[in-house]
Amino acid sequence: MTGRGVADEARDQQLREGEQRLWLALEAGQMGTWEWNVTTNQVIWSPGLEAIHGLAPGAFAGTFAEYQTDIHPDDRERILGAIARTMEQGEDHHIEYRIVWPDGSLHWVEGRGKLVRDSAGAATRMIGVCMDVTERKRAEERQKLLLDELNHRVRNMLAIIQSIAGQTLRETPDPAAFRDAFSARLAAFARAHSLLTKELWQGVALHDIVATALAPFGGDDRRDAVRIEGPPVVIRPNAVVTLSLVLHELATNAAKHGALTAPQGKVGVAWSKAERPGQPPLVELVWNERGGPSVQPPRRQGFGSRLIAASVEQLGGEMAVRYADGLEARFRFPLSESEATGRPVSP
Amino acid sequence: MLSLALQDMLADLGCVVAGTAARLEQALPLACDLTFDIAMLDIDLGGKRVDPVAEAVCARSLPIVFVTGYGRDGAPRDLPGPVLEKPYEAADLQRVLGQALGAIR
Repeated sequence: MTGRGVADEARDQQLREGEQRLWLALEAGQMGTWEWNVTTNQVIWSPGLEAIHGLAPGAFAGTFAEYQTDIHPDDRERILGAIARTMEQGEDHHIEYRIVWPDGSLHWVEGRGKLVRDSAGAATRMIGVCMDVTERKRAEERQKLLLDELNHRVRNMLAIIQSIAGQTLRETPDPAAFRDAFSARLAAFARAHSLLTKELWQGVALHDIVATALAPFGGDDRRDAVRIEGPPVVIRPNAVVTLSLVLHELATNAAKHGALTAPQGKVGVAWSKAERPGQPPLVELVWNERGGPSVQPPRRQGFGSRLIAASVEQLGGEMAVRYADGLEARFRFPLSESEATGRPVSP
Repeated sequence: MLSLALQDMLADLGCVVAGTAARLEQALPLACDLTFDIAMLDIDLGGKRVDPVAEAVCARSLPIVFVTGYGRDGAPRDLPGPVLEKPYEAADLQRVLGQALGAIR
């Protein structure tokens, strides 16, 4: 054996080890490799790349036409355009696109590649790697959906605050009175929002809504002034804020003009749930004030009355108000979407 | 809640509110039968998309303004009508009303 043969052997060994390392790294990275011979149009895929395309080892026919067959129709033009640009301008090849597996499932792949030229500078081959990025794409889509929804909710919330400010200003143009009324409404809105967040924007228990809205009005010295009772009822998210604001208006009114102005005055909030065959259950909620001054219907429709009317419309329910020894407001609304209308009922 | 502020703004602009609806099933009959000059439709009606109502208004060749918190992309693509993005000011409202009425005439 000559010295040169030993050196060759050592170099071959190094090459084999280097190639093995490369394959292991590609496999660990779940990457496939590809090579496109521009002159012969032959395409070589590694077994890993066949797996990424949902194919059995050796199932890929090995032509440029075959490469295009599983590209999603909506992405094909874009991908062929990107390949043509790499061929013409020599820029590095980087694409993300959808493929349709033989079983019909949709997958996202990301490919990167380089143009290889011969000694005369003519493009002869394109070579590169490809990997499955379906999980990342799904996560990106979820994130975009979440951001869109967040944007929607923030805008809606700003619009609600704008509306509360406008409505409050109409009723209380005096700056000090405006500040107090607006702050109280904003606080009620914030508490309702906390409830929603706590329940992850699923439904909220009616008891929690009522207790939260009335909490500022039944302080330590008036613990027995407010009585809340009713069976478990869950209110859908888009009605929670409205209902909370309505209860806040009723409680504010009771504290200013109604039962909560008197030492012995009491407010009762009670509800019942009636199951109906073939229809969503009907909730009847009664706000009842006792032991306060006798009340008269308001001369003009204020924010509270307008809000109540609008929320009853939103809940698809009915409402009746009675002014006698104390205010009695009776609401009826279906628990979920239904064909109910906003007609008032006689008390 | 939002409808109240809109009604006030419209009243300030000298408009008369012909009818309001908070839910799809209330809005549909209004879209078909009510007499009005322009419809202001929130894209989201209690969790349901307002598209059927918009189609009913469109079928009567009456103008529409879409109100949305979802940005411009939220509006039905194949139906005409300017988009009012929440939150908005009276001046924004006046502008889109003008656009919608001008487009029909």
